[in-house]
Amino acid sequence: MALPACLLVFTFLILPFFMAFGLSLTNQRLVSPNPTEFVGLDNFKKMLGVSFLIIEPEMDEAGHIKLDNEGNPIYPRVRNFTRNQEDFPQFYKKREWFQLGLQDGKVLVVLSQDVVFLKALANTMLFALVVCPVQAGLALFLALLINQPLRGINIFRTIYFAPVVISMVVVSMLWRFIYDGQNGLLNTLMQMFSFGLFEPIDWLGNTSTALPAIMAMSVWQGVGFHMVIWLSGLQTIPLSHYEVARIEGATRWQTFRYVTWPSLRNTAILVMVIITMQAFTLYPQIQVMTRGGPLDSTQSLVFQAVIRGYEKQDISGGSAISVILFLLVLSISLFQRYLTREKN
Amino acid sequence: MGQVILKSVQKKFGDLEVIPNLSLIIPKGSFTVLVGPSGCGKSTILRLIAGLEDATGGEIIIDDIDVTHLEPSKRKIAMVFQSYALYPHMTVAENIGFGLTLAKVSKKDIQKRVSEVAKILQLEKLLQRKPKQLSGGQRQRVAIGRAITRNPKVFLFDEPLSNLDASLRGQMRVELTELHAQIKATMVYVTHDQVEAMTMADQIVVLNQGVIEQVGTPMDLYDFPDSLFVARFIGSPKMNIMEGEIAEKYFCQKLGVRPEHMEISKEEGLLNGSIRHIEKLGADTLVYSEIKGYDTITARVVGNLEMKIGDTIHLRFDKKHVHRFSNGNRLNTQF
Amino acid sequence: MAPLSIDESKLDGFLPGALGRWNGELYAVGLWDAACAIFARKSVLEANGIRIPTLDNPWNQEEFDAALVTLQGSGDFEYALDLGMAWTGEWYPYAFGPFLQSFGGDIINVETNMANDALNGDAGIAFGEFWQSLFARDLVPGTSQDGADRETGFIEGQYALQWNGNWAALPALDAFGDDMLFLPAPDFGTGPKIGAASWQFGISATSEHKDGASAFIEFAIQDKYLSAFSQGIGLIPPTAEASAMTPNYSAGGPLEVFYGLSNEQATLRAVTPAYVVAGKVFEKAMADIANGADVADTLDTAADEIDADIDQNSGYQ
Repeated sequence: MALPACLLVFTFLILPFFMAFGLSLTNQRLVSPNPTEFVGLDNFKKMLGVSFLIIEPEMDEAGHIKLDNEGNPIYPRVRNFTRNQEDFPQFYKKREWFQLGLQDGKVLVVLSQDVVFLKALANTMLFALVVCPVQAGLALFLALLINQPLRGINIFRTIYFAPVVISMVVVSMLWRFIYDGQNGLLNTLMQMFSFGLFEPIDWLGNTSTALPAIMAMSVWQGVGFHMVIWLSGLQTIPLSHYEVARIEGATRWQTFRYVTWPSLRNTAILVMVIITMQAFTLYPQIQVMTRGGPLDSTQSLVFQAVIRGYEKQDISGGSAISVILFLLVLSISLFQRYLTREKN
Repeated sequence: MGQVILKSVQKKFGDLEVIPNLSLIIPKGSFTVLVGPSGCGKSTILRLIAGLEDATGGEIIIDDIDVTHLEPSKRKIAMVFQSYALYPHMTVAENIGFGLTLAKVSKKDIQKRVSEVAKILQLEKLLQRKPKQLSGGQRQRVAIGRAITRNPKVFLFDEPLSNLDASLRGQMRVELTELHAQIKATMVYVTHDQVEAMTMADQIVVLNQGVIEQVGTPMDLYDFPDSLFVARFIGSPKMNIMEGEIAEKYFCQKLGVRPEHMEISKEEGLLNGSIRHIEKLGADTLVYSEIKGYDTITARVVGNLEMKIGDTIHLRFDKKHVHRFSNGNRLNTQF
Repeated sequence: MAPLSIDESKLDGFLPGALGRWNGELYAVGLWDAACAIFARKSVLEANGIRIPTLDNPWNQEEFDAALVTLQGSGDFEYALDLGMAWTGEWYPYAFGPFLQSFGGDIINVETNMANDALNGDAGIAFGEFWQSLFARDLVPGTSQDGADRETGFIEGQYALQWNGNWAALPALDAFGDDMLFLPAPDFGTGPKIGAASWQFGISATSEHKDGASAFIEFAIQDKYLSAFSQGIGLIPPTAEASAMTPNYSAGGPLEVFYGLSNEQATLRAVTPAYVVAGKVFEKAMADIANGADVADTLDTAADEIDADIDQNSGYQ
């Protein structure tokens, strides 16, 4: 009876899982007449390898630091070190990831051969770091709000849950209109409420707002799902537990702190694990809304895996990203399990 | 300390009237048991006193203070729930000290008070355990401990023994009575079990459909039930109720005789029939007989009885032990 | 894929964009061609005192730039020019690659089989700087352009000019009639260029019936079928004879100009299998530069990535 299911799980889950590990150690292409070669950890080295370069401000003949028109010191271009420079073979074809100012005007430049991947990694981590607590917290807040025997409460439950049943692709397309820089809903509303003082922002076209905008939308889309999980947890708490707290004189906050929250322990673990895994597989929003732009500010690991493996026909590169993603999520899940273990 | 007065208290849930109009005085220091069949409103009265339900009308006064609209925590009461309502994530000590933690009492003082309470209830060795590591009786004691900790004027018990097995229930009845003697606070106790009511109470309130049938000491209720309802409810096995020819003879509609007042007679008399069932309890024996013209009549005989099912039996009783009822109420006039 | 065995005489007069040649062999033939032009309105250009360019005398870079600044300055439009940044994907290399070529650069230098020096050489960087300046000066909508605006912005008057293909010509003609102009691409130094493009028939190398397939293609490329095909889907017929047989593209027809554009300006994109990846890389580089990324660094990275891909595929030989 279970054979067809086992077969499907094996073909579409287990087999690709091990293939990804295998392929990430080769130079496999999507379509190529050339034979596949084993390249060891080259794919990982290319993606994760970083080197460090310290540059000093340019000096004039008298030994003074040269300043530009705004009075900032002038630095040599990083390109001078990375392009066709026999003196710096270790930096060849590498690119600046980010800079850190050191003392005495020196600047530490972190160089990488695959800046896009590192940005995708950083963005994905940041996304998870923000979305997990915000989405879980908001979902819990909503669950507490609607866990009351008020008339018409089911209408609110439905409203909060509605975005969950809509495909993320559709939601992303709709939110592109909301975030539109010219006449999007968000800009129009902000202008209305600020009596025209608010300057319209191109939310998705701006490197500083694109990722937060996607985070906000993602939180909104998924919050209903987690609200329902919290709600199911809340409804397992017996009424008498709240009544004891009332008799003993607990404030609202104390009731939550001593009664509600400890009773939701297992629910909390479930919600955190689910949100973390969902956050790390950030993809459809990026694909539909920004395609990683502007300036890689919304690159994500899964998006890069798809771009490389499919669009750029580099299966090995895509597989390597998938492997890194797997190890990342695995270690975070184990860490969460460790943090939430039973103390005795 | 701890007199509770209910004045014309009413309670409706939507259109459903649970307590039509109820007045009651619970004397300070008493052990008052509210008893009645399920759905009679006894738990609702307890929750009204606790403040977990708001009264639709009337006043509730505890020690001369009108608490009708006060929060439960301001009423100086404590409540023990049928389900115990212990917090599974807290140790026994944390559960007992819960109210003090909420009141932000210092850790040292909490510990001191908790060990005092634990001593009273013999919980000293269990303080670091979680509720799921305790037996039913131990959980019950922890729930009582949590109630004691805050020195309430009134203890409210909502069927606290109904989740325990029979022998443990007997033991806890004794413990609760002793506890009452020890701390001398007012206790209001709800149960559907008339045995608990008889054994523990110094005042019993019999409720039927939200209305008080009778208030009194256990022996008052036993010896002088005001109504047919109380007569049937108090006492085990139940009082025999007979109507027809025999009732007319005593100038009433229904005649009641308790089983222990039925005697087995050698001669034929008013009540003749055959034995349907015998229960031998050791100290005494219950005989259920099929009597011509009446329902099953129960008789309680001291010691053993050398009779068997199917034997012919004659029953008689002394007229000073009869209870006479008309229209459901007791007739106290002489006949 | 297998080379086609088609009589060369049958291909006389074909637009270059409709023939797929590689290593001297013919591999594919298209039944149509497409061409890009600057969509404009005569009245708008005249009102702003802008010269109307011709195929023989297109705008040069200064003229083009001045025209955009003037149009933007008129205040009548949200943007002077719509490049179509909303059309992510194939559009970028097809529509913008020829600008790079006109500057004298290319995505891949077919001779050396490398992107370095072609994409990020001096000409490439000059193109990149110009490209970035269009966005920096708000002359064109950026990468966050809404797809709907791309479709209707020109017709609704949001944009003064639009860089678009002949497939969008008819709605514009319907909207503006005689006022509508299809202008040739500017000359950025090495002559005006537009992308040549069509979907083409080819034969798989593993086909068991290569002759039959070739015969079908030979049959399909007769002028009467080519003109019928164009009538049906509105694209440019690939021969002069077929064009003459269609009402839209024949002499005096409303879209005749596109046949001329395709014939005069069409430049093949780098004919190499590396194009699949190179196109994606170029797309990202264009978007990044438009969003303010450092031009030289971005083109360096793009060139490195294309070259690395070529290396990984043993040069696609």
